[in-house]
Amino acid sequence: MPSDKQPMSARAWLFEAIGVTALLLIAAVLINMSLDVYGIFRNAKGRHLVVYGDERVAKYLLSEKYVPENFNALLIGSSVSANWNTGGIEGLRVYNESINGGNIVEAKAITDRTLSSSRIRAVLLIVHPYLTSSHEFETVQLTPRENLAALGSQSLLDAYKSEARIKLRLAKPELDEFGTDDFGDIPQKMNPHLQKLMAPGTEFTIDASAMASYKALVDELHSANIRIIYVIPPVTQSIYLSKVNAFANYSHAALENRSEEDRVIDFTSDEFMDFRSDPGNFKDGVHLTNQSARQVVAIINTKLNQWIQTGQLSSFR
Amino acid sequence: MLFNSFPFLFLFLPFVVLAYASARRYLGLRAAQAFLLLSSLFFYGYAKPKYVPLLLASILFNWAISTLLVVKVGESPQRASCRKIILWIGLAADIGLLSSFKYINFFLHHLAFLTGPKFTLPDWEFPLGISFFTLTQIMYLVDTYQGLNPANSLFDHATLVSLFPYVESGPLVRARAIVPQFSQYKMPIGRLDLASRGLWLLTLGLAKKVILADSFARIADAGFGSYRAFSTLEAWIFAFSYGFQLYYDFSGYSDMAVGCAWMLGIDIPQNFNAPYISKSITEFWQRWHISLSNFITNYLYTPILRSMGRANITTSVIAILIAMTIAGLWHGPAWTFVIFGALHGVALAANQIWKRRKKKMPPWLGWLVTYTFVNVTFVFFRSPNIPLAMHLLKAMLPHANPFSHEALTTVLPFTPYLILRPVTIGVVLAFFFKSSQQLAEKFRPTHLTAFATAALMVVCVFYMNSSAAKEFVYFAF
Repeated sequence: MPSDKQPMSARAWLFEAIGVTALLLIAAVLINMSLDVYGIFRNAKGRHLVVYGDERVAKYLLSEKYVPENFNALLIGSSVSANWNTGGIEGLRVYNESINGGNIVEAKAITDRTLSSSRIRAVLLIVHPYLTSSHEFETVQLTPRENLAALGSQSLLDAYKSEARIKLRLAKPELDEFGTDDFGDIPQKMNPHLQKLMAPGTEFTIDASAMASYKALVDELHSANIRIIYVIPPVTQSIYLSKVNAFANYSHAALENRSEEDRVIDFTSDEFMDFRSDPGNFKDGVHLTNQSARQVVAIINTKLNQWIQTGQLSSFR
Repeated sequence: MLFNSFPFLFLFLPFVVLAYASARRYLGLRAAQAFLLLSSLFFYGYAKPKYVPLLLASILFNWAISTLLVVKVGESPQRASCRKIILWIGLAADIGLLSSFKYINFFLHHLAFLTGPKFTLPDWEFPLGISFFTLTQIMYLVDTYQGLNPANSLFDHATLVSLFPYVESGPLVRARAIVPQFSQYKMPIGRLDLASRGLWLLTLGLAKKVILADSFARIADAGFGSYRAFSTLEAWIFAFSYGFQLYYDFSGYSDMAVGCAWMLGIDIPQNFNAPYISKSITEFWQRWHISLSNFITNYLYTPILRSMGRANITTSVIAILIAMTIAGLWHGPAWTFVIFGALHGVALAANQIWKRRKKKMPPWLGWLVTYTFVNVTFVFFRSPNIPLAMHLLKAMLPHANPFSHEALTTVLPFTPYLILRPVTIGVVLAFFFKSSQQLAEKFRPTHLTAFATAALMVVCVFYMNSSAAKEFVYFAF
């Protein structure tokens, strides 16, 4: 324990203060680089990295090496698709980049990073008004500056704390190595933002910047020759019927730049009316329970396999 | 360049401190001062070099004027009146420069109803630090005119005005306190002792800014960013959060400024002294932005009072109201700042009348009234316009939704650890802990303080590395 009793010369004090600062910083950086929780400082191929701490920061950093080196497809969405376990998809290795409370601007920042590696061949793109209802970064601006944060920052400290709590069994893991969240199956009340968005009879509020980002992302995917599978997620039949036109108009706007090779899986179509009519499939009318999310993923898997078998999509696994 | 940025803390500052000390030792004082001047100009122009010529032109102009203002023994009445005219020319030019960037469009816009079709000038970008280096030079001209300091050489004047610890956001300095230090070390303790104390204060200031102020800012920004319906509780939390943000932001900046200057062996005025423990509004202004308060007292209030002939309670109240309204406007071209200044003018006037009547108030009540008043007026200070300020103030009054926290929880859940711990620490420190000034005075170079400084610096670096560095609030003024 350093002593407060013995004064020292100012010169020695300056050397000690600056020297200890430098040593502590170097030690922290080296430790963080060797732990490498985001897989950015060494080879990430074959690693099973789980999301710890701030989900946005983690998914953004994991997208630099871990996602492109271990996956060939992405699921892009908000909390609506965050608990869809993409490990259940057989034809592709899909990483779930959905973000809780996320909008398309945040999703695009994360996707752009993954796309820079050009190993991604297909994207499951959620068509949901929540994604385009705002355009601001919810927690931090997702920029390459986050790489520096991975050397030592509050978000990294939170990630360590989250990891420690899970490993000590003080908390349950929330997101797995596929980026999938665990919502559980207990029903809950819809959050205020979603309540407003899903208010009966109204059109969906579309943020112009967010929609522009959505379309820019689609164009980017097309120019990178990445196949897009649009997924219009289910809502309870009662919500759907109260906004039939709004859902139709929104899908029309979101699919405007769709190419002939792109595919659509529409869970608001009549084919899935039975699924939508069972309120037990939903936690709050919009988010699926874990169990029903597995059903949805199974349906997506079947569709993808059909398209692969009929030559409409190639298998990349 | 931001004090709370990596280039400043780990490149610019260490290099300048070491090079300045070496130059002083091996090349002499004037060479060291020349290095300091060039470094300061580099610091000022780092982000926007285009404003360096403006700073240099202002320095040159004020220096030229000051050479004509020097009091000479036995000067004739003609020369005295000539000096007065030159002083007014200098002051008018300084205020004109400040106005052309800050106020002309504000006034033209509001005169539109008289002049008919709107006539405005192009919106020029606001040069960093113009309010501070202009006021510093106004003080210099007035002091030179009054014979309180000699006219400095151009070299000294340029170094005085552009010195990097204060050129961008103060404190406001007087030439006679700073310029002699360029040629002679004035402090009662050794240079290295002062430098170690400076590093300690710099680290405390950095912690105030990046750990505390930026954490409060996240909450305050949510409240002042929209017209959402807030509960009474939320509205007060947003208002108090901004009060703490501003306090730690400005106090942190001031500590860093003094700390940097001490590392160079130069003493500059303290700008803060635990203002939130003030028990009256007069005491608050003696503790908050002390150098601006001194400017208001010496260069606004006193001349206004003198111009009214005799000093009595009525003229004093009028002078306070005028001086504080101008001081409010100094912060920026907006009615919100005018209202902020005027409200403080009214409060200071009321305090003066109260004291004259020798009425007593329990200290706790004095503190409560002062603290609440200051934070309520900060709503005007922070709001981009009057309607938004009124929206928040209305929400602060008891209404149908007193305790909801829906708006607040949209901000907090995502980053609870980033916000809650610093906020709790910040509230406790502001009311119950020693001020930086007291800590700096009691500083002793021990292993414990060395480790504490290092540990705090490392925590600060982690915080700085967590989000893009935010500008200091007073950079906008």
